Amino acid sequence: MNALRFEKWALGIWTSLISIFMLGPLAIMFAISLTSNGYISLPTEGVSLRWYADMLRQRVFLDAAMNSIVLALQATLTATVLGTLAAIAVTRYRFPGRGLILLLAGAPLFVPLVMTGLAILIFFSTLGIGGPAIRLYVAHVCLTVPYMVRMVAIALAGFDWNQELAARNLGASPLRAFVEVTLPQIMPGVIAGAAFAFIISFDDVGVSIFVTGAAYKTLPVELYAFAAFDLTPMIAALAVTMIVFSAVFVLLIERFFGVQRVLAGEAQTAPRRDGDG
Amino acid sequence: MTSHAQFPPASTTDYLTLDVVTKRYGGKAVVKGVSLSVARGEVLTILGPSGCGKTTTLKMIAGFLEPDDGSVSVDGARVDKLSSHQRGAAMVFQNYALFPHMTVRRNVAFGLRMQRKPAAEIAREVDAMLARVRLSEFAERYPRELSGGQQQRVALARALIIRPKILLLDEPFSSLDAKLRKQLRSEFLEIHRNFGITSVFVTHDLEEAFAISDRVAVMNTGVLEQFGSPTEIFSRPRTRFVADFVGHKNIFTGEAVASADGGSVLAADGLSIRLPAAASGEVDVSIPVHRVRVSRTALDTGNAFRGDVETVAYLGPVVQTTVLVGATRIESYLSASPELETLRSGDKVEIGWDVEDAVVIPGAGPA
Repeated sequence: MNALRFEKWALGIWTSLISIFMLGPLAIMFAISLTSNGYISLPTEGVSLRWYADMLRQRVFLDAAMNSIVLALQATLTATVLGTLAAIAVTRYRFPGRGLILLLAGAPLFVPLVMTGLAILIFFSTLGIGGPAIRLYVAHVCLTVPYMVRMVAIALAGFDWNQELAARNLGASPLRAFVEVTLPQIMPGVIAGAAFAFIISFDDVGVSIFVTGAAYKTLPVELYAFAAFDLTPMIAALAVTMIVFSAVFVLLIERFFGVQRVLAGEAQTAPRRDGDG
Repeated sequence: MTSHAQFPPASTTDYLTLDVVTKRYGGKAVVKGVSLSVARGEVLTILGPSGCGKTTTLKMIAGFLEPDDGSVSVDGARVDKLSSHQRGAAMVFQNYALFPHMTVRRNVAFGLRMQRKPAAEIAREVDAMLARVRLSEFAERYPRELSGGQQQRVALARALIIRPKILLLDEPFSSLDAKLRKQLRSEFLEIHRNFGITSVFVTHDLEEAFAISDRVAVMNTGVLEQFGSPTEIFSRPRTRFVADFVGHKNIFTGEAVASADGGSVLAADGLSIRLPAAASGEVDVSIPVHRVRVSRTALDTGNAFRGDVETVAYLGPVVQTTVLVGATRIESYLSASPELETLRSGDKVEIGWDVEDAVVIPGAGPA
């Protein structure tokens, strides 16, 4: 066997191992969700959808799922506006405090989620304001804005701001210049950021667990609480449902907006040439 | 600075006028009292090295920057408080700044759409404009699918369709190779002739400035060094900087003393050079390279010196020679002749020029 063929083989085996490592637990979860047994097990006695049916009868999960979707939409919408504006500001202008904004916008990416959650809890408790819905909303906006800033900043890298100046020169208002010229070119970045934001918000436990209340829980938090006390295969059914929901969401975004291109950092604009002072 | 006073006041035929315009950044003046004017339909070029303030000056004409002092007028009306669009100044950016997500047609239509013209009218005007700049067949293409020359025509069409009063171009040919530059330059001139629009052009390229302009403004460190026709700028540079910048090679600095015949004599670099006019004190004098003659035999020119050929370069129709007179290097650029073709490095020659060919550089004044 020559070296090249060995390399191909090794790479193939390695890739398979990684794939099994990544996807194995999901496959097992999927299998468990189909068990006909009354306890966590592989479907040895037979395949059944009884746990999916059970899941749909649990009022508390349906409510939590609705909470999660509404929350994710609200947080995503807010983060999209705030994050896009922040990304434009830090990309386009050099101003005092720019570095600080970049740092703050990126901080939630590096601080452990538990810390963020705890900090937000202490903040709200100390001030004594807001119910769980408001607290969750604020927390999730904080959590998702960094992704938005990143994605839009990537899309703006190399963007020629003279285009906006050209649009103004041709009679466009500042808003019109942004909407007609800049926004269409950074749209893939905005969509990618929003998709990230939605998934991050929808899946979050670490931060949410600190700020939910008894009357207002998100799905992952409800799931987490349930798993701690009452371990039935319904957990697996619920987990599979959430994974499928997220996957379909990402695939749809990819299908319609080609997010892959943005994530690969592909420049959307013409090559830039340096100007004279 | 009072560079304004150096130049004749704006005549009534001037269409675009800058009157003692100054721009400061953080207390530091980057454009100092610049006064310029250009007649309707002419091309004015602002020429100078990097950082001389030419782009800042252009931005003040364009309405992207407001002057701190002085005024900008178009067609007799002050415009320096107006936006670029309001004052009718259309800009062609250095890299064209075409909208990459729009077709050629939509790029060109942009200005008309902003005016909320009816779609049918826009379509008609865009078609006419595309035909005029020979882009009809590229209407549905995107800018990235076009050559540099085609992109430039799109940029010009996009700017011209809103019928601006003045067209501004910020080094549109820089960072292109020499051949493409010349091609784009002639395309610009063709479109300029076609539309007859008053244009202001910024460049650091001398040849480009001379090739396209009716008037040239030479700037250095924020100051207008000289303003005039290309011929004036080249044949009568007003300052040492201009002389250097437009390529004068033989510049002598020394003490001039008036002589009995109404002229004067300059003592510089160990040479005694006769000047055509009365001059005294320290002056700069330039001898244009194409006036300097080189010969193996004695010259009958008013100024003649013995020297040694240092280098000879045959450039086809012309021969470029440098001759050392003592330690002074003098450069000559002459039409090829049988005698010149036999010159070799080290040959003893006579080098000289007529008294009238010496150009006395008036100097920058209180520099």
